[in-house]
Amino acid sequence: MRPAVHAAIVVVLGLVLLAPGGAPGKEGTSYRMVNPRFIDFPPTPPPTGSFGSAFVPGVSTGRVYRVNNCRQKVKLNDLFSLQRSDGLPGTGDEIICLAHAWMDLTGPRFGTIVMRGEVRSDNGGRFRTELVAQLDKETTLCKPVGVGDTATDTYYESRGTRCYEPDPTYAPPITVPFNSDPTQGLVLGAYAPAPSSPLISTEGLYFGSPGGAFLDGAVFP
Amino acid sequence: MPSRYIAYAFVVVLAASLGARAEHTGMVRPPALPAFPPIPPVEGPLGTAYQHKRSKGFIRINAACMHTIAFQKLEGIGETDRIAGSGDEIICHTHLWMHEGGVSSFGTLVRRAEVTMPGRVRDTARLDLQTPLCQREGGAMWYELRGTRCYEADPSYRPTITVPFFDDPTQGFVLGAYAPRPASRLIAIEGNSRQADLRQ
Repeated sequence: MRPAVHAAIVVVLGLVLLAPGGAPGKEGTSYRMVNPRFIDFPPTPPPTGSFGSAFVPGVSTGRVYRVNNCRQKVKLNDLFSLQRSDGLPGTGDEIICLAHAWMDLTGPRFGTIVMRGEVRSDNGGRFRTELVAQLDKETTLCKPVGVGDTATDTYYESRGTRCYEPDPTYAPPITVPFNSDPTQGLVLGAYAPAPSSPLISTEGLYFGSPGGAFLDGAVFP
Repeated sequence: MPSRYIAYAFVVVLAASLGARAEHTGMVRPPALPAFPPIPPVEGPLGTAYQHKRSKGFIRINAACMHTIAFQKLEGIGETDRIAGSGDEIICHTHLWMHEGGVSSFGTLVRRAEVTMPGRVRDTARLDLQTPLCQREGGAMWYELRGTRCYEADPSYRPTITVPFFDDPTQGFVLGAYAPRPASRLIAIEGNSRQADLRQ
């Protein structure tokens, strides 16, 4: 076998076997650890409300990425029963995601990262969205670890991002708004209330056959 | 020939590092939201074993229910006896809500891990082989994971395990309640600690 083929095999094996969570694109999770300096904040509120019909298990997909200590991104694909939004930030027709968290951002803090994402058309009448929180770019609060070299900025108690269908009436008091859109940002010193709209999905893990049938006998394509 | 294999090893590490750029979790939609009690918050005492920047650690769960605990360069954490359940292991908790086999429940995954070299831990368990839970056929779903928490050894820690591991009954799932924290000090919890990747 030619060396180039050897190298290609090795690259693929490396990606499949050593990437966090196993094969890229598959379900799984891998997170690093922190030793928090601050605790004793109020417990994060549990999810309440009910799920809508936008997220169809086995068809719809979603993922929460934490790119570094200051950035979080949520992607939802193949959603149903939504309407395309107007593409303008902060007009109230966006999907809303809340990430309650405890934070060490140059001091002890707790609260909620409020994110909004436009609803875009996807193939075959489906919808998708992408929500991005760049705390280092959108606020002055978070300094990326490794930049400036003394940063301890991090957040934790945070593995429960919840996403909701658009709610035009939702206007929580944002303590630290994002530069690009003041309807997004950090609610600090309290947890942002949930929107009144139905839940789309919540951060979690699914162990099962991809695209298969599951959930109480319900069969999805 | 050896140089070729060194080059291959380099490529594997490079590929792995590319694959590891973003920490992520999926999104799920359980059939309903049960009114379970909230996940208990992190409580002290805090420890000093995990030193910011120097120490490294991660928790990994893959699609095959393989659960890995890994730490390096923990300070003051000595080698253990490598006998499962003897009480000298570090203890990790993952509180969670779950839906499996048409049943919703909540509780805590209790894991124990040996310290194989001073300050170093790496332990993997196949949850689907060690318990009747986390079965792919049933489509197991976990959510409300606020973040795994790991503690120093506590020989007196004996929570009531509802679904024990087949090969170590001191590990397993506590269901219908959240396992209390050990009395020992916290080592670390899952969090956003990843260094900034300047390419992004």
